[in-house]
Amino acid sequence: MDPTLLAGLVVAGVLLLLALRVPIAYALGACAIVGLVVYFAWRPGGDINLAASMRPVLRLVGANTFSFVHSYPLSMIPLFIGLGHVAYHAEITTDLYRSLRVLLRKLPGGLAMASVSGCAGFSAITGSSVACAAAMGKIAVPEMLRYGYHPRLASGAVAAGGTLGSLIPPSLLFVIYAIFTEQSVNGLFLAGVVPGLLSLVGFLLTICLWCLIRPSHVPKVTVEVGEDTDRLKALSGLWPSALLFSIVVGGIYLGIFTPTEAAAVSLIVATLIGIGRRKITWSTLIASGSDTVRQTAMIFMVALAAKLFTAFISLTRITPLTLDWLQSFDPPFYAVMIAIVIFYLVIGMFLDSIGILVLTLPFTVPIMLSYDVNLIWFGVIVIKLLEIGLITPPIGLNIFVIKSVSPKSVTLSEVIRGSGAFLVLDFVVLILLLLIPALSLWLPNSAFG
Amino acid sequence: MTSREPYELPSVPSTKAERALATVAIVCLFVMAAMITLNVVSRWIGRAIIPDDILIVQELMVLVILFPLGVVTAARGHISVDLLTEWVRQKGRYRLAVLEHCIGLIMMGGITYAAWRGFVQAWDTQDYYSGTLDIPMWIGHASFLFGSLVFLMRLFAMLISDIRASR
Repeated sequence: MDPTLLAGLVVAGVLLLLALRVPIAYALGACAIVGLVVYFAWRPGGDINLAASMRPVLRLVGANTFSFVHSYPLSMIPLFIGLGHVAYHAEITTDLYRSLRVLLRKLPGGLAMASVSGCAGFSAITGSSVACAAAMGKIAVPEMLRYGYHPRLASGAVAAGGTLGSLIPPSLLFVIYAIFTEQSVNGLFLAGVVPGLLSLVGFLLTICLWCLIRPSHVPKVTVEVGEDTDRLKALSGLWPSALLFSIVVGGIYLGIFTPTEAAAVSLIVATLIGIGRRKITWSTLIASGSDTVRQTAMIFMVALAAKLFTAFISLTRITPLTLDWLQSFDPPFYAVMIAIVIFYLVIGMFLDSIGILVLTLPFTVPIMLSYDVNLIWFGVIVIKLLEIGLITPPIGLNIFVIKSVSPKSVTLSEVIRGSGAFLVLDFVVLILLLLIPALSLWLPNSAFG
Repeated sequence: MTSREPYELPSVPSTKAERALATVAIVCLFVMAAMITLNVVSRWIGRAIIPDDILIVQELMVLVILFPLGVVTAARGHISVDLLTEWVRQKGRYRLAVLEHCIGLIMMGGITYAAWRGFVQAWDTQDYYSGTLDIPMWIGHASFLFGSLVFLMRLFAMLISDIRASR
């Protein structure tokens, strides 16, 4: 069978199964295995010989799956996920939000700003946008509603703030991107710092503008009678998050730790902090661990299946053929980039972030390489686009997460409209990142040369 | 991704063995973190005190990833896209779940058979990772095969129960 036709059929099969609600891991893995069997059993111009295909297929499947799971560098994924869960149970993230609330209360929309900044801080610990939105949504949305914030601003701020987890290190999406593009995780983590902070500034500016345009959406009173507003005490609540962030980003930037070591050390430090504060008990430790290993298993199943899918796609040589076809038009780089941005924005509305990464990278990365694009910069752009996808309907995952953890008074349309307002400056940040690659590359270049 | 409360399929209770395996994975996670931290700290003081820590972490990773899969599958926890099937009612959802398990079985059937071959080869050759501990390769392959088998059995059990429910 013609490999190009086979690749096309397999890709179509994956999309069909995804539409039928088959888990991403199963759809990718099964289609890749069937595709590999057909590829080896039915060579172009020859007869079907199933027996002959078994040996190469099993060798390929065995090598790609076992070596992927049996990996030291990838142990950073469960360790970072564990860090997020332990930090949540140790109330490190709750303290961060409480402190920021006191410190920012005098600014316009101070509580909303504290929520977004809290999300940034939470992201810096957990690395997961959805976990961040879920955890912060439970605390911050009811709090803002209690103070009289409009549901649209309250829910939109946390949905948007939650997306910062994709860019601010340690980001799980960066780790997955690094696996599939063979880029340095250190470089990607550092490359995400400035764009992440820039996105944070964009969100804070959005809140300022919101307060100016619709003052009725923001309450006049920002402190309740009897509330503790001691700034020094509030500052002291920031140290655990600051310490964990320093271990991860500072440790990697200064070359003290590899990302895996930073993940392990920060997980142990967070656990010790939780035990010291009597927040982490045996049962909360088990609960954190249980959530961690379940999430790890889910993510790794998708990544493992995607590894098989990538192996199949590279065998069929569909990517070089697509590249040749593309180059026959000789499109300028900016046109290709615009097409890729639109592609990710559209696909981001329908698929979840990990699925998009593993499905698209085998196609988009070779295109970028043919234009000598720095893959660290491209990684930042892709992750930023996925971040935007998290709050873009109909499948903006953070929108649904916020809806599910918010009080019933917050409707889905309020969350969508609220998040939509934050998209405007998010696009401005995206354009800046596209036009000025140094915003992403300056920090990794300064660290590693 | 999801907003499927109205026709959400209930999770299936996981077995004691699956929960025990998930607990093993939790223990391995914290052991991994403690071991790496201990070696980082001891490296600052003098030299790393745990030999072959990278190899041990690799072996533990297999358990951390594969062992909770039974519990995750019983809870219908795998990541899926629920855009075009949101309107599907309970019975239809069970039929889709049957398809899901069949596809899962194709994937895991291939992976488990490859894992068996990998284990047999590692056992026959008795190869080991060279280091202080000379860890035999078959250990990692055996845990990979065991984890895959448990996952495969869980998929099969889910298939049977969802076929019954879809009638």
